[in-house]
Amino acid sequence: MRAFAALLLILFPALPAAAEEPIHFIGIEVNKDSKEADTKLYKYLERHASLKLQTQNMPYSAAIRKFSEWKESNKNSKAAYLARMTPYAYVAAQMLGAEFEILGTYQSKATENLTYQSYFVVSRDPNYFRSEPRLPDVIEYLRKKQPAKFIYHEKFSTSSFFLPSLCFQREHIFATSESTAGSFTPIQVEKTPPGKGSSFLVEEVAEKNADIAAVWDGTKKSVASNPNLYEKVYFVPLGTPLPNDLLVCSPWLDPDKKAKIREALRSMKSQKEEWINTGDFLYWVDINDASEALEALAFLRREALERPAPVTVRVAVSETGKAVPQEYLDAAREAVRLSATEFVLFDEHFHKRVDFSWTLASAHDGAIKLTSQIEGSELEPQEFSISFMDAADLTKRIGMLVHSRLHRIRYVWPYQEKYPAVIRDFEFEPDDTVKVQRIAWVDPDRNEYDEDTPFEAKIARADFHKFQLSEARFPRGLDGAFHFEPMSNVAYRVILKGKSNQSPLFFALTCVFVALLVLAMAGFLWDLRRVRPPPAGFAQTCQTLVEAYHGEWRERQIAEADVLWCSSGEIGKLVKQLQNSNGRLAEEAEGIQIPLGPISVRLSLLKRIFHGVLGRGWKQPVELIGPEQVGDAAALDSAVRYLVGQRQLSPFVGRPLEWEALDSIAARNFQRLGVGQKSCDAHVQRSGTLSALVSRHFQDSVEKGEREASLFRRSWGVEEHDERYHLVSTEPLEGELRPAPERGAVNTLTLEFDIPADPQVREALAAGKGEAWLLGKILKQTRNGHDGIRELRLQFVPVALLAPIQS
Amino acid sequence: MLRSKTSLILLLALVFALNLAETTAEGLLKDGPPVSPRGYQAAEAMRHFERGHLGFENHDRTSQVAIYGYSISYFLGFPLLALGAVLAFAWRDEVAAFRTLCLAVAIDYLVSLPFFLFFPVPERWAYPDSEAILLSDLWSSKLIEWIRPVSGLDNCFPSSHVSLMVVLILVCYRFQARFRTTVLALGLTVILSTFVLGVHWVPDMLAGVAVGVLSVALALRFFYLPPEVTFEAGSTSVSRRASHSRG
Repeated sequence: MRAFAALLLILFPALPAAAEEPIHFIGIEVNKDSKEADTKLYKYLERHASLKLQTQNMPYSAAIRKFSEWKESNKNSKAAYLARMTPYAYVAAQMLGAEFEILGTYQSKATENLTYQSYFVVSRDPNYFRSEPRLPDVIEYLRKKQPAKFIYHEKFSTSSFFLPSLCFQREHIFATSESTAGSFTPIQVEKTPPGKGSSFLVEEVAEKNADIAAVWDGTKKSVASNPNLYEKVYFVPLGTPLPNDLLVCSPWLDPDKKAKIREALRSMKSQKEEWINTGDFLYWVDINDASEALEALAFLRREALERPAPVTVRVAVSETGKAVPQEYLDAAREAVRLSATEFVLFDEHFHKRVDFSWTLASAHDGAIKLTSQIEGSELEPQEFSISFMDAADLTKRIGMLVHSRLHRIRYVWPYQEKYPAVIRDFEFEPDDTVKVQRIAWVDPDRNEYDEDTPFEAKIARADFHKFQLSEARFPRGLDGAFHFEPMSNVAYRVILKGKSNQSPLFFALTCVFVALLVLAMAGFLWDLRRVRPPPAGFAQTCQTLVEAYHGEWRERQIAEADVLWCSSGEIGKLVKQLQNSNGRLAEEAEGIQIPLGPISVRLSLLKRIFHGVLGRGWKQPVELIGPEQVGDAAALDSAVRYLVGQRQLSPFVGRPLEWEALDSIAARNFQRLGVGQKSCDAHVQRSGTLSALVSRHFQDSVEKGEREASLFRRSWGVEEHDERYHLVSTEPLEGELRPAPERGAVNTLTLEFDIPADPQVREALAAGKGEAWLLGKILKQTRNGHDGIRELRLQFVPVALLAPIQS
Repeated sequence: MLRSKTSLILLLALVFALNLAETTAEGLLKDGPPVSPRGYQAAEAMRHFERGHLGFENHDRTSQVAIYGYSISYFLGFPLLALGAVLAFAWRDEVAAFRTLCLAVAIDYLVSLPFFLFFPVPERWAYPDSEAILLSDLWSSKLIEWIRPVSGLDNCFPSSHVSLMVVLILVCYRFQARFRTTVLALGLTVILSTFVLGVHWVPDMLAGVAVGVLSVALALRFFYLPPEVTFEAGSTSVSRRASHSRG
């Protein structure tokens, strides 16, 4: 173990050094004094808190951006930092997502305090001021002197810009060069040349190059030492105290180091030789000992909050939809009020413009349909179908919709010039595409504004603090920066649409739907092909024709009336024979083992389960029953069904089907070769070389007819001999056949059999014009020849004579 | 009994009329909100059964393909498949398939009816906490209004769409209907549509499958006339088979 530790130390000697990564110390450049004061501070901290610091100074906006994007822009996102922040830069950075922990603040030489005051500076013009003015007098001065010129040196200066801008907003004083027809007071806003500090602002006002500016206590105190300048201007206190600059650190800075820094700050006051004593900085104190600074910071934070401008909502009944009860309309209005958002009910006697139009219509089953349209936005209206229990519930439902689904309106934050940003103050997740519209406020209280054509922008980045928009269509200045003017009446209205992503579950179900449709189409094609394909060769074609010939017996049920004659004995023999052969097959099948994973199951068991679950109606072979059990007709019925169903009839059907099979083959091939568009009738000449093939196959059929039962329909003639009927059917063959070549050709086929004489049979046959189906077996075949007729006689053992179906 | 096609068609008409009457009567007798407090309790139970695994958040943002596709399946596909199957089986020479289908439908309704009467479950979208909407409303509210006379708002358990579709598929397979594969695939879209459109709860669908299988099994077991008649010993009569007809 020790050897391993030693090895580690040899291999990674740099490990302890890596833990000593320097802490970034960042100061905001205000002037030369502040830079010098920063140097003294970090050196003091290096000495007294044993810190290794890496210093850097940067302007307000760069520092704000640096801190708000610290984790994204640093390779080591957990690299710690210390910073001296001016109050508004601190608040603005925090609004954009920067994370700080305040460690200390400083004692001001100017105020001899931990806080300071901001002042408007106006010229001592007796035309406007007869005595020391107060804030209302300054406002009145600005209203009279339209447009007064306001100058500032830095947008993130708390005293020179931020507090005056808040004051102007409250008093409806806007920087504009546009029409002044509104209810607001126009002023001209101008930034001083770079490098000029707040003293320059006072000089400009004293020289009447500007009408108004704002400065802090330090500037006031320095100007007081110059009576020529001081006596030309008035300093008018502006609002409540502000905290002095703050020393902050990253929250993830090592707690021990934080404790050391606090301790060092606490001890600075008592070590006069260690005081900063540069510019306005006297010494630093622990923030926990500076309650008035924390109180002032809290006030600033509240003032700096981006308050969404009220958005007016008009709730009305749909003119085209079904009527809505008044209580539901009231419930929707209550929802606007209770949603605690920027939405306010439109008051037609006060507001000038409607932002959202909500129309309510009754839907089916007591639900309502709410349609929400943003006026002038070119956006599709949002439609919501809302189910609810009662009017109070409807208020709740609409309130939930407002928070989670309704489009929202926010404004581009004008203090950020590097990119257009919207400060995020809701949980609602918007769509990546937003609508932006430049508006010029005419009367913000009454929601009156002029609007430009909306354009689209994308949300390039989103976090919990802001939405960073794509920069494409926002106007830029010559310096490439966005000149959003916090003091202007021009604002960029951003309509944030609800995210349009569907949930993964429903996306999957959509895919399933498409897959099922494809499956349905494939299934349809499969089903279309389900009709048995045409037989492939001569033998198959013959067999198909035989099955088609017997087809009507698949579903036909033999009633007693259908049986013209039958022999119980022959039926019994037939059934017995079939049962024997069926029994052997069944026994063989029942013994088959089906492997199901690790176990194998007997087929018989599976069949039993299958039939048990689905009932006996599921496809089973026809049960063969002897005539002694159920009578002749029923036994015959079961036997015929069995023979047809199991394809156990002989292929002999009373005439040669072979020529028709050849016709069918020829027709199919003609079609395949493009001889005719449709299946055409082909007729093969009933002679020549093919007759040998036909003869051979017919002979096979006859021989099978000697072993197996045949079922066919013929027209029978009846002759009576010795109380027996002799039934004969003679038909000429289509062309000569040579079933047994050595015995010569035949051109006539005669079928015959004997049954006991029964007048009812004769009558029934006569009624059917002699037509009847014979079920029987061929007993023997003989040849006769006379008068050019060469006859093949087939003698049958009849089982039954059945009436044909009456069409 | 019920061996002729005419009588079976009358049976189907009777089931349809009964359903219509039951739904109408429920609507007339209802005095208050469309969904009763008991209905909401049942819906809450359904939601509890699903254990919140099936969120309907952003339901209205489902793609147009699903909205139109599943709406067509639910409102058009189902009746067309049912009608097609009825016509196809009625057209057959043998009556067994048509008889099984008709009797299974009747059994299905009889099994479902007590639930409709005594266990009212509202459609999913009608229960506000489900977050679902009736997706077909994004196409047209008229769709649901068309079927409402035969499909009560709180006749949700078991799902008739599912159970009847199961009946249809099983009968098609049992009687070797030619387009059974197509019916199976389209039938599955109908079954899924009951969920996607925000109409039915998962327990409704499971119960629907169970009722469908049970109905077909009962129809086959107790009412089916197999092609091979089971004769009683000694009987020579085949009059039981006299129902044979040709088209």
